[in-house]
Amino acid sequence: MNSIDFSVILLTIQLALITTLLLLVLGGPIAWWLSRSQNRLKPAVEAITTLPLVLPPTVLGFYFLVVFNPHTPLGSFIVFLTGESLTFSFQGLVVASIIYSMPFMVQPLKIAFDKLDQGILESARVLGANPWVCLYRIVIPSCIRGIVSAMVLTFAHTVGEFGVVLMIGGNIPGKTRVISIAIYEHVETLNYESAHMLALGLIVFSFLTLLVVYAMNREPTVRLT
Amino acid sequence: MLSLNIKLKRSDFELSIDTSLDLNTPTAILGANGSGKTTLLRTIAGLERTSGKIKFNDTVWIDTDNGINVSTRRRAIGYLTQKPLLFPHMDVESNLRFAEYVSQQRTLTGTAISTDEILKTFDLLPLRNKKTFEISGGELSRTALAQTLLSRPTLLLLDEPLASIDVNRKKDLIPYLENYLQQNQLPMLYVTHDISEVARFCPQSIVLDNGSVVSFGDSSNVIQTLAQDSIFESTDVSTLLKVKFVKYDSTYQIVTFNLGSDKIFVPTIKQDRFPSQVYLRIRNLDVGLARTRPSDVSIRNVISGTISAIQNDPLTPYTDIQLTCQNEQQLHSRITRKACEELQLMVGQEVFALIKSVSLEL
Repeated sequence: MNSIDFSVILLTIQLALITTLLLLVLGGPIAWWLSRSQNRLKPAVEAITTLPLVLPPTVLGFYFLVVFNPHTPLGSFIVFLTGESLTFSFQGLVVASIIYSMPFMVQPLKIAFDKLDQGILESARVLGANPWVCLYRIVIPSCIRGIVSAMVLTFAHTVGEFGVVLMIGGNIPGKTRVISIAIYEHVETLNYESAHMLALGLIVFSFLTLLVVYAMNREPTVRLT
Repeated sequence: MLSLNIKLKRSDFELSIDTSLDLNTPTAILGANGSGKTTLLRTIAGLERTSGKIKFNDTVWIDTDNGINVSTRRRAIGYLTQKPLLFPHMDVESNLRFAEYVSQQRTLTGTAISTDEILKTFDLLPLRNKKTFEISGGELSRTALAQTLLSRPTLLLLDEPLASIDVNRKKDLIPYLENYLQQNQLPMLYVTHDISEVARFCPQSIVLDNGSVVSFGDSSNVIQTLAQDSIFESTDVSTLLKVKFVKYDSTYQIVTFNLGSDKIFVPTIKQDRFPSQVYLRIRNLDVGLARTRPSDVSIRNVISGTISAIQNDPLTPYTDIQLTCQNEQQLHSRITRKACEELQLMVGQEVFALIKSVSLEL
């Protein structure tokens, strides 16, 4: 494996990690609201957050380019703010990945929050716990398996993303060249050996990831004493 | 003092209460299923949206006209639901420590106790490291009560705390609650369908019907006027006699009470302090009648009274008789129609009610 491939792997992990952490902060409240609210906008919000699951990545990529390219008002405003365009940049990949991986964070979290008994939360409130204490002493420990599997799935899905990156990130080494793009290029240039290494690595990684998720979501064995 | 002036509408139900309850003594909330008992407790706890005003002592908890709504966690309420919940990801001790931790974060006026103390007094030490699914229903209720008390409540709301417990496991909870209440003055609202719990815990009662308070006062008077079959699970009719403690005879394990000048003897295995005044639950099936004061009988309790009503249903073999005893207290007796005829019982007659001591409990 040559040195370029290491930077590819590093960049991919960086992207997936940042996306996962930002999505946790962003998707957590959305999932909580979806799980608890009776608001009539709920189905619409749920549909929007799930949309990336069913749309081809090209649709997202296309509109991303349309909205964020430096010639649009929004795009030029972002260039004015950060000095860099969101298109063909690492930051742009992060923003797109957040949208693209949204359902993989929100759905498992929502399922975990749904399982949380309302009575448990009421009981914590009656005991006098403030929302912050409820969150880190009751909600997070109770839903920890759902939270971890949401994070693992988001991470893995971001690692495996291809279409969006290709459309909005291009193939800039050290900036937007992630594993999936590198594999594509190795195949294009008939460099099968390098393609194999990355592809097999990705298969093993993804398998292990899913194994962790499913092993964790198995019901615990309840001992009857 | 708890002042309630609340209106709460549901699609099929309306709770409408305007009353002030003096909560110096524990108060039972009685009423048929669906009469709004649980909704009332949840509203007081701030878990149901309502309009109106709730004031506890000098603190306004909700006043929708003036935009005041104190959140549940700031009301310092102890609320035990019908099926008490513990936090499933914590063991018994952590559940208690959590409540203690939360109460230490705040300024509270309720009685402070420590987890270590309550682990001892509630006999929870053997359970401290158990998971919540490893303990019995009675033990879970006891832990939940301990947890509630650790949160230093100023008002205790109990919603049928014994309903989810096996009959013969009630000793897992009752004595602990009783001891705590004896040692600490804590206003309590107690929802129940069991008249013996009213006799035991609650000198006063309120009765809800269809979302409104229909009766409030001294438990023995309130129960007197009730259609008991719709409110209590038992099929017999009971009265609560208010009696005064006289003495405890440890040789025979008998407590003597006074009802006016009549004496009532109650066997007990409890040896702790007795309150100066208690309610005895007397079932109508356990009361026999005699026209002259009998001697040489095993029945110890002979209470004088005047027949105030006779209810005779020729379709059944029974006759229900109501007596007025000393201090204007009422007593019900069910005898057979034949016995009633042979004794020639009439309203206004002086009779003696015979109650087997062993049918009474404290």
